[in-house]
Amino acid sequence: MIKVIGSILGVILVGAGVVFNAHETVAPVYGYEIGDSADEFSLKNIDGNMVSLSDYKEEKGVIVIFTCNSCPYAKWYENRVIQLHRDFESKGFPVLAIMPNDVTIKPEDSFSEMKKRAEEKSYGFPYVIDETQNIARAFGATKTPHVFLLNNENDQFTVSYIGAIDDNARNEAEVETKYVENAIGELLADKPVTKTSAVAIGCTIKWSK
Amino acid sequence: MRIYNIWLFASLVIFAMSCESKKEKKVDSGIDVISFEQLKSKIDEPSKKIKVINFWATWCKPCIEEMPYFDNVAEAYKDEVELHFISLDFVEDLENVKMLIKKKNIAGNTALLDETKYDDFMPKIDKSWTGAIPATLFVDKDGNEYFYEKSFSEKELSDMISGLF
Repeated sequence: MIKVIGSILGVILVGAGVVFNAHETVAPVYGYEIGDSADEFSLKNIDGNMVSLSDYKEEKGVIVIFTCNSCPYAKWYENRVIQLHRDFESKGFPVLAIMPNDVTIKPEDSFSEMKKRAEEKSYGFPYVIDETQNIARAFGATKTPHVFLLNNENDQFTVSYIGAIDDNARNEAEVETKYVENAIGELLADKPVTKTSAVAIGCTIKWSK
Repeated sequence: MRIYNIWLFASLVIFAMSCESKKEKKVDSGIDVISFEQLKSKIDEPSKKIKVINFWATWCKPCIEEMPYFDNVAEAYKDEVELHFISLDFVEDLENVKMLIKKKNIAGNTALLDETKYDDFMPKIDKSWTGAIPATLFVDKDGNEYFYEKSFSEKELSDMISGLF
């Protein structure tokens, strides 16, 4: 009988240990790496229509940018994102901007504010909301702005570059390396991307608690 | 007469102490502007204390929210921990940094890292850093480094640090 109680207790303790460990885990391991194929997703655009990755099958690729209204770094890059779309949409690499923040934490990033901002600045590209934050998680986006350049290889969208737009957030005039443009240039020339990632500072995605 | 002398002595001591605390305050509100090399030597320098190096910026709300937790935990473990707040604001915004430190009454030692080539320096802090802040580097007494690209609650921070003793 004592043995039985002992083993029951043991099971309870082991069980509790597992729960405790799971709780202690700091951050889940997730996110695409270079060479991975991005899974299909469908998110609501500011015009009310859904935008899916498969909508881009006819394109050479997509410049997916996790961004928002509120982050100062996203603001500094806003005009450059608009310009990227203007320069590369016709070459087969349009911009798709995804807003991943929990809007209860950042009301400046609400759907109506997103709409307002995109209209004011005539974005010209979809600005979709990732309400569940599942797409940001799937990509492994951590901050805004955070670029994932996808290359369409027979309808598989291969992650070809992850990171910053260029190497100078504050001052566009002092940019030395345009990471995203260089990577697209290489893809358009059927060359492998030489610099597949570049880190840059950004605002942490406001995850729901 | 004797009582008068004691009084005089006591007031002199109090006066001297108040001068001292004023002097410390002045030192606290001063912020060093440092290069990456200077930061790296701060990280690598052997120490008898656990180093807590927190990266933040004035525009980063979650950073500012967690700074008092770092102050509190550093104070609670002051014999074991040395705390460095490293601002990633632009050097042009140094005054904003000073104002914020004063306004929020931040006690921890603060420096501004004058370095904007993020892709060069961030991987040298930790290869896993994608660039989001807040981010914190813990260095234990043996020089082992633990990097977290996340916000901390006071309890998490306290647990983390006591785990490094």
